Amino acid sequence: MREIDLPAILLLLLLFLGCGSDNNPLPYLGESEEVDGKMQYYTVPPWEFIDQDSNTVSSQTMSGNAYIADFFFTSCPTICPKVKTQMLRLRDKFQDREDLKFLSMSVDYRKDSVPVLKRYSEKLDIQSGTWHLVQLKKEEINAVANQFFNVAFEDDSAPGGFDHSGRLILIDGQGHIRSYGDGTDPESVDKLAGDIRKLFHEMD
Amino acid sequence: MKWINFIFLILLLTACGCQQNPYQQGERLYSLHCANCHMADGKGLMSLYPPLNTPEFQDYADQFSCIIRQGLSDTITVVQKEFIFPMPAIPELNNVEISNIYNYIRHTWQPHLAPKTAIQVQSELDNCTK
Ligand code: HEC
Repeated sequence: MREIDLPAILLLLLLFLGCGSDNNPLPYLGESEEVDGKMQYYTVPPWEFIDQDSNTVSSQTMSGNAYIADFFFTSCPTICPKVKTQMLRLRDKFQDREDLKFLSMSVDYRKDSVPVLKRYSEKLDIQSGTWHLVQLKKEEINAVANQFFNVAFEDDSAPGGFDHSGRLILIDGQGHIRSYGDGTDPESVDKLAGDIRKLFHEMD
Repeated sequence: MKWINFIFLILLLTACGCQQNPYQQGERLYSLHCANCHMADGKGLMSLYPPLNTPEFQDYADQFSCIIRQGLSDTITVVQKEFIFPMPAIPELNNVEISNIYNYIRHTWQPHLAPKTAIQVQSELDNCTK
């Protein structure tokens, strides 16, 4: 009996391990090159904005923290509410991780001033210091969206006047882009949550 | 004995048919134009977008057509929460479509309210306060 059980148990264990944990390391997205035998990965260029509490938030203040970035605007009639629901879900899921931050960049350079963003954050119970809402300037929208591997532009024919994707982008503590998900699709966000966990493993 | 099976099948089919939402267009339009904010289940989103599945909906039932055609930028209180963000106008919806959306909402969450016809929608629109 024992001789039969052991291999069976081993096999089962292997099967479980195989399914349970996907051991692939989290990739680095974007162009990378080897310099003097060391890999140089794509890094989001330095940025600096003013958030809903009139505090300066920048790539430097984020350094050492992982963060999720997205583009939105407060009067957006289409995908933004769905995306925000998914971000709230991620926030709740990882509530105990102080080293996970959120950066929501508004492309409505006319209306989404600091007081509007502040009211919006209050209506969604968004905590200061953890989740930063910032307004982009007209002339920086395209460039910033590009730097975060996203698209956002002014389009009078789009509902609300702006077109942008509902992508959520995961950036690590060194400014490298490590994963992204479709904020309009809960399943895609589940996958992103898995990648966030992997990143935590790396960081811890 | 086969005809018994047949009758059973017919009964089953009609039973399913009765339970189906009769406002198919309303449901489609709701998910296209309203569910982003008010959510598919009508619960809204925290204090940003109000729910449509609570008794307070009744207070806005008479303005329904005007709210959709013109939007709403007031401070309103629904279930003890204050809503301040404006709802954008959705001018591309015609009277029949508005009545279908209303009837879908009514059928799904407000069964005690009476349905609305496209003619009623027009008379509401004629009397919008703005
Ligand atoms: C961009 C988000 C958005 C969309 C899309 C939207 N609404 Fe609203 N809706 C709001 C907000 C915000 C308010 C509260 C406005 C205020 O406080 O003045 C509101 C208020 C309402 C109200 C009155 C308050 C209540 O709770 O009954 C009704 C009725 C309503 N919406 C129905 C609809 C219907 C029907 C649609 C689709 C045809 C729709 N809304 C689409 C955001 C939205």
